[in-house]
Amino acid sequence: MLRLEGEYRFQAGIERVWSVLNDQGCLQRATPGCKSLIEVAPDEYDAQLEIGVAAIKGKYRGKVAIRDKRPGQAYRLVVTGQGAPGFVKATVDLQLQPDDPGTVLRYGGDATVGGLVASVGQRMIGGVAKMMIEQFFQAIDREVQAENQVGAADPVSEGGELAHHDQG
Amino acid sequence: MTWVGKRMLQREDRKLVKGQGTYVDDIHLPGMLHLAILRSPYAHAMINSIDASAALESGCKAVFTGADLAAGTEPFTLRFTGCQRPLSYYALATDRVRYAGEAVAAVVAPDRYQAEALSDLIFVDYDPLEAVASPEAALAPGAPRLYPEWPDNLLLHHRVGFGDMEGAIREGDLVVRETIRSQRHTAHPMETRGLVASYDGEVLTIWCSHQMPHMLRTVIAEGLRFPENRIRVIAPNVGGGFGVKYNFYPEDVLVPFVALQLRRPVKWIEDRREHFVATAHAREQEIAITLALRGDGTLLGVRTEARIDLGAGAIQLPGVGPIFAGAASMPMGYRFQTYDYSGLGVVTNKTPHGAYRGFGVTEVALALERALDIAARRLGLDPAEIRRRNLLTPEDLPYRTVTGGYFQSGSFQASLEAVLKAAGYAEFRERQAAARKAGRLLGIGLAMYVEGTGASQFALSQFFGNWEYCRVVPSPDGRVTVYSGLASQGQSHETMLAQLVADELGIDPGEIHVVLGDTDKVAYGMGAFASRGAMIGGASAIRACADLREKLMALASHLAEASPDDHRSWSFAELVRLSYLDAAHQPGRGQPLLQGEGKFDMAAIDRPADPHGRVPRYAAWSDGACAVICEVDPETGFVRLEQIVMSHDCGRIINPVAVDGQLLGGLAQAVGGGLLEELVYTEDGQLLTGSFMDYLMPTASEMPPVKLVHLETPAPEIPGGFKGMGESSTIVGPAAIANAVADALSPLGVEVTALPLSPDRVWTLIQDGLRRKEG
Repeated sequence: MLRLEGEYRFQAGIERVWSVLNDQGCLQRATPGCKSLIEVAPDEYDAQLEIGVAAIKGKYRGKVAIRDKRPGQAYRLVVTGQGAPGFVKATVDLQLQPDDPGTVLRYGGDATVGGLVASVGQRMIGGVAKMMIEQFFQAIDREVQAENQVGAADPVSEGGELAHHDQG
Repeated sequence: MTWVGKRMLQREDRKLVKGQGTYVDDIHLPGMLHLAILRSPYAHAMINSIDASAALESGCKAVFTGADLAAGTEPFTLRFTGCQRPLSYYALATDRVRYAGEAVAAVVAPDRYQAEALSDLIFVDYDPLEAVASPEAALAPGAPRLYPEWPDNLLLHHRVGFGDMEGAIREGDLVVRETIRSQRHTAHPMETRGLVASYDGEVLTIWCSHQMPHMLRTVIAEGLRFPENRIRVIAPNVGGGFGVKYNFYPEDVLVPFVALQLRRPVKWIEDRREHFVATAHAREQEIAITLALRGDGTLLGVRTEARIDLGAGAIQLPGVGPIFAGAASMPMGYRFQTYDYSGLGVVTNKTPHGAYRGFGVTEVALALERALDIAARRLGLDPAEIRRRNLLTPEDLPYRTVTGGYFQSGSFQASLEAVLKAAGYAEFRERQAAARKAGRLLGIGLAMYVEGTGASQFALSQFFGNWEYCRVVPSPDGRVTVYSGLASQGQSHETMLAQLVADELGIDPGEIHVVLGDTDKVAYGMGAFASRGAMIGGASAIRACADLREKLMALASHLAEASPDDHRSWSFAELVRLSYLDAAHQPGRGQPLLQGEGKFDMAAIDRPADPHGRVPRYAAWSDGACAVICEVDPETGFVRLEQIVMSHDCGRIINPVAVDGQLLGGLAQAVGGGLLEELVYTEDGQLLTGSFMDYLMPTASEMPPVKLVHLETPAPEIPGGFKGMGESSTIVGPAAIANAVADALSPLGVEVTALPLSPDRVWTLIQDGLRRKEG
């Protein structure tokens, strides 16, 4: 069991961050190694991921679901994936709060892994998870800024800041 | 010239150390395909469906799943009468996976790289189930069951008991109760498992890295429903077995099955990652031990309540055998006749349990030897003294142990004294006292053992033979070929048999060629297990030579009668040549071809059950003692081994070089089991130490200097007087290491109750001790 916890600060308002976090295209682009993300039901996606770090690279086939949605405030992200290196199951709660003038996103959840990811990769898995979460939020931040540019409602910001509480 | 007992370099080694050995992966056949295995990442799950279409569309030659095996093979069935529950399984999982690493699909491609890449394209739809990863979890009320048709997760409950244990506890001045834990670990031979199978339309030939080629042939014949006389199994050079290649694995049937289906040669070599999850695990036992003692240290009785974590079911053949072997061997060389053993074999969602050098005896030796040291400390006795007071003396022999073991010879007390002397025990105690004053933690640990060798009346199995076969065939040039049913994984059987046969026939070992490990060359044999090679295999060779000698004598008397005037003596080589090629005298006329055959089994020495139904179970018992000197770093918990001393008595020694090698190799594995190796699982059945990065093996730098003392009391009923000894040092080593560390930590008032003694575990013990001292 891997504990995932941390926060990320966006230089944009809650509504923009929320809309990016609910946009299938943005999610697909932001998720590291995501080859496809196909909506199969409202807030339910079939995903194909290619993730590789040292011994645990490979293709994963899985599902992404957004649950317990409270618009503009929070949702729960449930990700399951299975592939040659094993399986991953993560449940993460994301919460948005205004942090004038931007938005702070706090997340917390657990991930379980199995197969080679566990038996060979456990030493690295904490670091890998941290790195992927970083990549994800940085990419979401880029999407947020891109929307800002399109909408031109706010000046282009410098991008957000990430803080981790790594307890893996 | 006598060759037995001579230090001879091992004839096998020159080839092997020069890289000229032939292992399974060195077998290359035209048109050979390669097989990769898709394994379950889940510890417990139902298989809903398997979609191999993408792999098949991408150039895969074939994909096989459990459905194919269920349709085309017989399942593996555990054939131990001691098991309460039926257990059978196919080479590939059918509807349910019970451990992470269980084989789910086999993918065949022109090379291994492609086979593995293609296996990535197979999608298995699993429905994960709750897993149980410890006996506690598996036995808890309402725990998920691995085998829904069973009422619980208990494969067997083995009980052995004699005498009045409750009475012994009442009568005892001291009762020691302690729970001692052996951790899950296993053997990692340099050569992993592997098979090549090839079918030419008539004969199915299998090269395998296995300890028992003949029995494997029977397993494959039954599994494939294929005529056994058209199967040839060859175990070429085998790069280490250590018991894990005594088990019969799913791949042993899977690979020949695929070769038959495709009519193409197929190779599968286990990679190291697979080895961690697909080769049997061993040793995981928690033993609650109770000793009842008199105030003078005399043992009145021993109770053992063991819980053995069998993983997802013991592996055929010997998977539950270690439970029976441990229960039978527990009395060791001590003189107590009240004993109560209860062992629960529990299934969990982990890799199945099987044989590993030590075979269940390592675990009970650890429990008993640890408990004896704890008892000694409470009674104010020296650990050497409490052993002295309980060990058998020469006057006790022959001795029948409480479990029926029959000791006709042995060194017991002499082994202990030999080790104390060689280790400089008394001087060490002085050095230790001085070191303690300087804040250093030095310790010495003693442990005793017996090793039951050449499993005998293991009536608990219906798939087992306790005999060995040998044929000696002279060629016209007077040289001799020895065909033995033994199989070698590095024990130097070839050298050993050459020495023995040289003595029996009065020829030079250099004239002898030894053939092993090929079912087409030797009619049948049992192979390597239970440290039986020198003893049972050696005895069968002695009998074969006696048979040949008898025929040679007949031949000589025939010649002498035919030409009485020419009465003289003939050398072995002359007689042999005459028997083949002397048309004038035709000395062999009307006789079978000159050769000797010998089978040795326990018929000569098996004893009937005593009035309580106890049988000896082993052909002969070796015994010995071990002392380990260590220093513990109080800051880091790191254990540095300073020296290991071991004395042992394996009866008559054939080749001291080979015996030294067995003892040293086993001690290295004992250092691994004592300090380093552990297969760590999560609560949901995921292995966390699946590579040598996290699973530490001993290397040359972890091995301290070793002193060995050979004592020889021949086994009176074994031709040659040999006793087995291949597992002795793995049995006694971990217990001696545990006692050494416990002795080092004794000023802190803490006890060692679990292995391995990794720095974190020892450091925690030290902190507990310091807290207790302060508090």
